[in-house]
Amino acid sequence: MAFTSTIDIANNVARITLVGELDAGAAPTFRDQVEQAANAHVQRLVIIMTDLTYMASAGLRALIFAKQKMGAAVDIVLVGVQDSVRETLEMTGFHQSVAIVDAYDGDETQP
Amino acid sequence: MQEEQISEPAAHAQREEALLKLERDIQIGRRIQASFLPTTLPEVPHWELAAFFQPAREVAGDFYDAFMLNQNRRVGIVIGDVCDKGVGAALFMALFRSLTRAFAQQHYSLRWMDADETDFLTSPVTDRRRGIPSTGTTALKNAIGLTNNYIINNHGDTNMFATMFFGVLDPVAGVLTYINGGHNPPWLFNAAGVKMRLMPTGPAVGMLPDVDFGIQQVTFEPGDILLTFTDGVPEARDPDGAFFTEAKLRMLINDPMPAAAQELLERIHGRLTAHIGTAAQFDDITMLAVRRLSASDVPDVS
Repeated sequence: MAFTSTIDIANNVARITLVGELDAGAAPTFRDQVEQAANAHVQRLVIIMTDLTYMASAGLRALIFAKQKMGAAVDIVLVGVQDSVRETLEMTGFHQSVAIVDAYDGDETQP
Repeated sequence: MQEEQISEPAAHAQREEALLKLERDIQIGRRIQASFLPTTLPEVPHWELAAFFQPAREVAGDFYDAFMLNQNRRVGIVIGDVCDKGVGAALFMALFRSLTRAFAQQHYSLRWMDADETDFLTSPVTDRRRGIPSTGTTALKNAIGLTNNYIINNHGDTNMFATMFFGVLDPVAGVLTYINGGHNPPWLFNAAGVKMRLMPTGPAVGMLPDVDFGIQQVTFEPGDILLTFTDGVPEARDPDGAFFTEAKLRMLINDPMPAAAQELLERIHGRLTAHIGTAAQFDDITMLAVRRLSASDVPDVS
């Protein structure tokens, strides 16, 4: 499946929706959007992964970039993570650095 | 402008020359990188080590290593996968591999290690079992802990990390003491089935600062095989994009039980090649297997 990444910034929250496979070829697009979110000085970065079917190590590297670029004060929330992607996050230990939720309704107090 | 005066064939020739130069540089990089892998694996009495390495491109982010430690009383066994692809991953492969090997071979005790030993002496017996300071523990702690901090302190802005399994084998006792830093869990198995999966004891190396990597131990019985591999094996794709999968890998490792570690790797390579078919190889494929010989392999040993 072709990869797409779309960003929407509103009310101090950046929402990036990832669809398809986040591999080495796709990672730079995602990374650019993380920079956009960082430049907008949002308080929270929500990454919708419901339709993300695969994440290579290059994708994980881009997530670490997001964590670093956004800074410690910004929450990163991963939403609707599929099992194969969750396995990668848990095996490598990155799940400790972010919040993982099944659904995100836009409530600022969540999770 | 000057460039407009260059004829089309001349410009073409210039591009060709630039490409050739790039190709030569990549080939030099490939040769130098090959020198970061062991030319031969250690020969350890009553044990067999075998490795398989097939990069997806000219240069790789995967690596493996095996070397003697503690005056030939221990064997260090490493498999690693640096994140991302291409020349960047290849440069970091050289760094991760060199740091882990160099730190493992340092035998002096470091001040930050002393805290651990104090903990051992004062901690309850139940906790001690988990962190037995057998020979090799310092080498492991140094190799992974110091590499983790070095990468974060000096290259943190690159977001590079590596999943890495590092084991220190006591070949006489048959005990492997290991750290699994976020790497695909290796299997220890025999003809009856999988005895244990060596699950992560900490995160990927270079990902999080000041991590206390856990240490675990596992004992080989004669005939047992440990298979370590990188994600290029389960994630190899066929022409339709379907993964090989860990489930398929698990099915073929001991059915039938291979008579040698080398035979196991050849079997997996054969199945992988058939699976990939005409598709392009997406990721580096690396495996390192360790087998404790059984009495039938060495009739002169009781």
